[in-house]
Amino acid sequence: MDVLEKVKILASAAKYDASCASSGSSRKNNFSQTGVRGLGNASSSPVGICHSWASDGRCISLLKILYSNYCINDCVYCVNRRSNDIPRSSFTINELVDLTVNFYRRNYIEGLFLSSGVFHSPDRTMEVLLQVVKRLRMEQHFNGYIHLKVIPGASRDLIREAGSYADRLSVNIELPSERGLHLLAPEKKREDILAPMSYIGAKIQASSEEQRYFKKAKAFVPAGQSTQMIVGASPEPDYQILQLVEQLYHKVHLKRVYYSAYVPVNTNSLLPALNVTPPLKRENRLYQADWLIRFYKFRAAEIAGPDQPLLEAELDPKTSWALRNLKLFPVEINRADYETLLRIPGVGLKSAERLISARRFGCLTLNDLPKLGVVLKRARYFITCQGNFLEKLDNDQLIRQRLLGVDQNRIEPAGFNQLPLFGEL
Amino acid sequence: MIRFHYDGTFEGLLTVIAQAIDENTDAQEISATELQADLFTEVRSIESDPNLAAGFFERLRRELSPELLLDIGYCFLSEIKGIEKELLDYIRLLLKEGEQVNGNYSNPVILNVQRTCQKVSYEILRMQGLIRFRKLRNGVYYAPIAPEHNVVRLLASHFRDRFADQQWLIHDTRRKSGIAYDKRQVHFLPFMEMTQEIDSSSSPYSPERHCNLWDPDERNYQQLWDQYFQSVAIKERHNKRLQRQHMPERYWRYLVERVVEVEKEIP
Repeated sequence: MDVLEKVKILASAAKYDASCASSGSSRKNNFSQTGVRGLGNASSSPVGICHSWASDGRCISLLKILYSNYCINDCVYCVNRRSNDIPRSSFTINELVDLTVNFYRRNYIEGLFLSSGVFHSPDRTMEVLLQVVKRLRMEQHFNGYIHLKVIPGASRDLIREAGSYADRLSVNIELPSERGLHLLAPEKKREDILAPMSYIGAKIQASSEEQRYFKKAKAFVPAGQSTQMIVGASPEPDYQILQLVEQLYHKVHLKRVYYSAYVPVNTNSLLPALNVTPPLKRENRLYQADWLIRFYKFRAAEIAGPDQPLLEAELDPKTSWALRNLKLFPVEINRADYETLLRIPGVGLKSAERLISARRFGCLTLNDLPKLGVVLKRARYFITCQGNFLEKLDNDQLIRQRLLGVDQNRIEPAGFNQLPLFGEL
Repeated sequence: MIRFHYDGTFEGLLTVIAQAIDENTDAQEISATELQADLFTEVRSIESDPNLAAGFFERLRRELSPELLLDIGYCFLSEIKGIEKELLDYIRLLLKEGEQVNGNYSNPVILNVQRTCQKVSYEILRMQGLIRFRKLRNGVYYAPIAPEHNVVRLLASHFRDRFADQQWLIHDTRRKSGIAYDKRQVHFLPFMEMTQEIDSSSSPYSPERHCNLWDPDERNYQQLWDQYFQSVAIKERHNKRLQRQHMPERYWRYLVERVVEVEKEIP
């Protein structure tokens, strides 16, 4: 099979992995022993660099590809499961190294995101992935970004070695609960996922500690660890997902959790039917909630709980929270502190900073707010400006109606009610 | 009110601004294009004065932080119509009130300068991603670009650090200038013209217009990249509007991948 055909199969097989981040590492293009500079570096930009956008609107930053789509596992939700009758293929190490370097030199990509189906055994698979990475780093003097997927069940030694060459490692948690995993991925053990995750987390902590004291200490996974979970293939409600996510951020110090709206690829009585559209709206709301936890200092329990198990489809989680907590509003925009400003719907990280900076020069008026990036469409019900209301409504139902009436472009929450589907579970 | 005419160089603009601030005159317009005088406004043509400009720049350097100087440079390179007068107002304000006034985003002059800088930085970031090098027969990697703002020189350090071990050339076909790297340093080429146009018409799928300057393997990698680009999209999540929002059509011209719908053509 020629490389073009392999790219077609193995890129297509890798596309359900959501991550494409290339930020957070500061790997330099160092001089090698010969005194000649090598190839590439990790982007110094805090947001990473996007090199293209695919027709689904997702950014393309890395060459996201599988080494092989042969797999010994039979996970029910996965397109590459053993029992699926699909074209199979594997790269050779040479082909993949050549592809990465030549794409990189033409500025198509920031680096490589390498994953694989599990062929032969987890250790054998992990070894081959590691070889690709070592060839890139040592033979090609490649300093571009490398994100490596950890194969559940691979040995610690291999994981440790992988971490010394890769910028990011990730172990996919796949499903939000042990029960879901047991049902849909019977060969994967929850322990095989969580153990490497906390191992990597501990190694990252230790190495950043070391680097504080010894400048030359070797970095371990400098761009941190991430994971991905599939949303909508199993019945866990959002509040359970967010609780897990909060733990992943605070206990294992994960850099990112990715959510992947389940695209039905297989027929199985345990799964949504093939004609169910992916729950994109739900995925989007989870990302918004994730942002609230990471940057806006929300606790998961504030966003959703047993009494409010699902995120609202038609309102973003912050607005939804504000409507449940109207007693905390209105907030005076000229006096509130940063943390309080952050909790106003329609005020973001940047606009909160600008508000604080601009009001040192005098009292802000209503006209100033849009210029500073405040979205009045949402904020108007929750703020006062020099003591004046924009719109005084103290009834959350009324505000809700107004917000939904104004928002013409909202997407209908199709496929959002996933619970009845799993009524029997 | 006076309308100033200058030669379009940064030095020329500094000369105008230095004079206007010194004489405390207000400008209605500062422009490099020919200005017609009318009954009510005076047109003053200012010649570049290297000494005055250098002296004024020295003053800016003393009184303003390096970040603000960079902002001023970005604004100039934005080439947005009318930005020269905005810069005069901005610099006048900074020199009068001190640089801490820059945090006052509710001031329209400051806000406008900030927004302009943002546009320029954003295009730099876009260019860092969307530039596509083609390997030529002589081993040089060549990338044509046509950015909205004059950012080609601001790309130098990024590509120098990243592609330190290859010769490359970035060519702004709109302004006919470029930067070239010879594995030692980056050179700015103020006048640069190619005899042969390389753009989307030289797509890997239209071999009849295939460029004969390319390295023999070039077409192969372009095809591989296009294949990757098409394969990585999830068709159940099809969203061309979002794609276009991130990557406006004006940037497609020099891409290697085919952004237009091509599903059927792929061999």
